[in-house]
Amino acid sequence: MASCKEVSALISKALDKRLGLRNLVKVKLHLRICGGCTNFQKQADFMQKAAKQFRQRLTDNS
Amino acid sequence: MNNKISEKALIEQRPVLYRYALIQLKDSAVADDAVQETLLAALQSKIGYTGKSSLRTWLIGILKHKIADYCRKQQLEPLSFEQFNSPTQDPNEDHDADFFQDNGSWNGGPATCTWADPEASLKQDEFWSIYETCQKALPPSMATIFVLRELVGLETHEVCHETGISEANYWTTMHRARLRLRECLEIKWFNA
Repeated sequence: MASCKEVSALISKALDKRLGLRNLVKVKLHLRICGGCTNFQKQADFMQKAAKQFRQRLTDNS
Repeated sequence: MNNKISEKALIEQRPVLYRYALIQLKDSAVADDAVQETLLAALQSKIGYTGKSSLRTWLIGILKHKIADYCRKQQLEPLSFEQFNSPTQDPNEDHDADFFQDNGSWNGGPATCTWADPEASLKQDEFWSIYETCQKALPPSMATIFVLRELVGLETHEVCHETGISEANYWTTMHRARLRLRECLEIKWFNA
């Protein structure tokens, strides 16, 4: 069973790069039973969205 | 060999170059000038773009010279991204224990807290000032990697090229940056 530490690192990586099948399965199985990592995934997605908007704001203010 | 670069291809790189310059120079007019000069230099380059590196990497190379020139003239200390090429060597940044228990499960954090309607935050100016505060609170080496990726908008391999870190190091650093940013936003915004 993968730990939250390992799975959260994969969730983070998945924001920038497609995971391989093995890691993808590892994450999916873990997310079914782990509320903490499910929350982390939502929050990480949100933070990436926020970063993109922040990036846009930097360019818009020029 | 002198490959003609289309103006369109250059213009497409302008936003990334501008953000790169803005983050280093901290002045939008100066950053804009540096980018204009870079694009002009690229168009007039005798050697031209040889296609050995990506167009963007080549342009960033020119931009760095423009930034360095400006800093020299103004007697400013240029902010070098390369000085942070060993992020994990700072022991203060290696505190997984802050986020995880010994068995690898969460130590509080997302295990105990959900964020209520985060999307609504994006419309509030106050959220953005907290976001900026939290991003600036990252340790310098971590902030550099995070800023190049998320704020300038470089790709992973470009961040590694600019900073000299390995890809493995990149993933670790980005993850730690996100854990810290998450915690900071939670304390200063979502649970505030």
